[in-house]
Amino acid sequence: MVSRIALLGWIVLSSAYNRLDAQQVPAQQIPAQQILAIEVTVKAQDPVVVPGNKPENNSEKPDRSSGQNKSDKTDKADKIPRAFDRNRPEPEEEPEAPKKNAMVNFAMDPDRWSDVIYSQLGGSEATFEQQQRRRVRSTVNRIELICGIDEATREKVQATAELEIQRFKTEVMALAAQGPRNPTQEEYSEFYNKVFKLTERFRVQGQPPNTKKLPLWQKVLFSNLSEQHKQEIEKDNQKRAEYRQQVARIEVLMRISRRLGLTSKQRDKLEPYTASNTEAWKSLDQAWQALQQFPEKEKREIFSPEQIQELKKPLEQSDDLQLVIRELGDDF
Amino acid sequence: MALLIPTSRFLRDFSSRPKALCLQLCLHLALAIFGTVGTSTRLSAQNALPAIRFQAIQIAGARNAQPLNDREITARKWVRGLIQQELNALQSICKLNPAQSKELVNLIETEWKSKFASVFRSYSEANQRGGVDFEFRVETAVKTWMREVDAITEEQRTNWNFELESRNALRRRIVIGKMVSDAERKFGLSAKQMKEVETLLQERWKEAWWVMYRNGTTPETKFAWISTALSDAQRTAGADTSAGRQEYYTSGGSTDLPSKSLAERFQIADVQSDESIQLQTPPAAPAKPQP
Repeated sequence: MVSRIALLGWIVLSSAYNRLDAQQVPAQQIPAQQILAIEVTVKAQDPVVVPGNKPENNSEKPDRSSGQNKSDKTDKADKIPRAFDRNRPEPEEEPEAPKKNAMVNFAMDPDRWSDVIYSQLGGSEATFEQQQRRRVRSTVNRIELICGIDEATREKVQATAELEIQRFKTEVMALAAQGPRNPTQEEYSEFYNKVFKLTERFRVQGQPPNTKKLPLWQKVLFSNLSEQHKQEIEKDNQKRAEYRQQVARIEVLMRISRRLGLTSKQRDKLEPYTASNTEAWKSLDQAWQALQQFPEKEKREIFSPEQIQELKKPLEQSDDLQLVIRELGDDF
Repeated sequence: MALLIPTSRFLRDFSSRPKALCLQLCLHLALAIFGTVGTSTRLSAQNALPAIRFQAIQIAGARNAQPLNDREITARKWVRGLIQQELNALQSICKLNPAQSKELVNLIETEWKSKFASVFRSYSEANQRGGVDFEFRVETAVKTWMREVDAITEEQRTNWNFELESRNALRRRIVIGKMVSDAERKFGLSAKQMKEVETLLQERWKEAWWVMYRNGTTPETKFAWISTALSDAQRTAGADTSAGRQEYYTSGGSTDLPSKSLAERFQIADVQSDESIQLQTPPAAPAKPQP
């Protein structure tokens, strides 16, 4: 019994001694079992003290360090070269300082050049896409009214237009990537010529249609129409253009009438002249010059002596703001 | 004594019929108060009117003496030019006799400046964007002056109204033509549809459209107005607001307004306004010093 109590007492004492000893002994003298036990209790997110490193960096920002690990992974993915990625990281190298004769005092990156290119077509990239789609739809709707289009052709035209939009966007990105970063006047002019060439086919509105420069979707549409249908469409185009031009001519006639104080009878006499020489009646200045060059006999037939005297004077200039409307006709 | 008799009678009556007399008394009092107030207002207004007139004359005199800015002088010349042209057209259409011409010319020479004071003022303000419709204002004023001259016959007035109507018809053609061209681009109309839309817009014509047009804006062609002329596909597609149209303002350019010197008198055929009517040529603004 005594020996049992003595044994128990020794065990208790020895275990207490061991505990005290474990707290005091250096790491090298800790038994292997205990080291293992300590290693198991270390959590993954706890900082691991490595000699030579600064432990406070990790211990202060544990969450960020874990986030940093994640972002390191994504950075690697981002570093895959994607020439036209809008969200690509900032370039590591310092941006070169603008030249002394540079046109702008900031670097022209591809995004800015893209904006410049799309602005030539009257807006942004999104506006361009929207305009093109609407234009196709509107033209197809009109032609459907004139000569009828089957569903297959309509789909084919729309698909072509969609492809063309995508192709153009790629071309814009490629050209924008070639744009000079700090262009001088000469470099800008040179690059602008390229931009002009690229955007040319979408800026042919208001000019007589040239089949070579027509967008692809129009060529597809045209190739799917019979000769008779083409003639019908051409006739309709002419009528619409004539309507627009006639309105513009009457507008100039009204301004001439205001300037000279014409009566309704005089206007009726003058109106046929507007149709005979359409080029001269495109603007007030042109029409005024044309009237000044009228033969005297015709002048006397139309105008009163006071009006003929008035016609000899030049048009007055005004510094008022004037609305200028450029009406671009449909090219198809 | 004369005051005491009615007072004693009143007190006697009041003791016998207090309620009825109370009402009567209140009515008399109210009438007396209103009468006093009315008289005093009339009296103060009578005293004030000459003062206002005097001030107005002073202001008008000061304004006449003021040098005008370039814009106001230009506006006056344009208005005179337009009036003179209207008179020429009037003579050509209505064939006024010398007496009619004299009366009309005198009336216009006397009133033209006061009639267009607001036009000059609004034009001379520097922040004018679309300009002032001088032509419309002159046209309206001449029409009013013709009504005021009794010597002008009804037939002459009818002829002139017919001329104005033909002018309006031309304006309608222009504005509606512009709107149709606009709709053609927005909705992709065919030539046949353009004619249909023109008819639909003719039915909806508003004078305000011409005013808008003269101020530099083509009135909008609403989808609802022309939807009956559109195909189903066009109706589904709706309007393309950006289609093939560029609008911008530019400063300067030739103007279509005639100009007449402020020192020249109005005339119809050979009849001029009376010499007794002062032309009141305004003093020009002093020239800016050269830097």
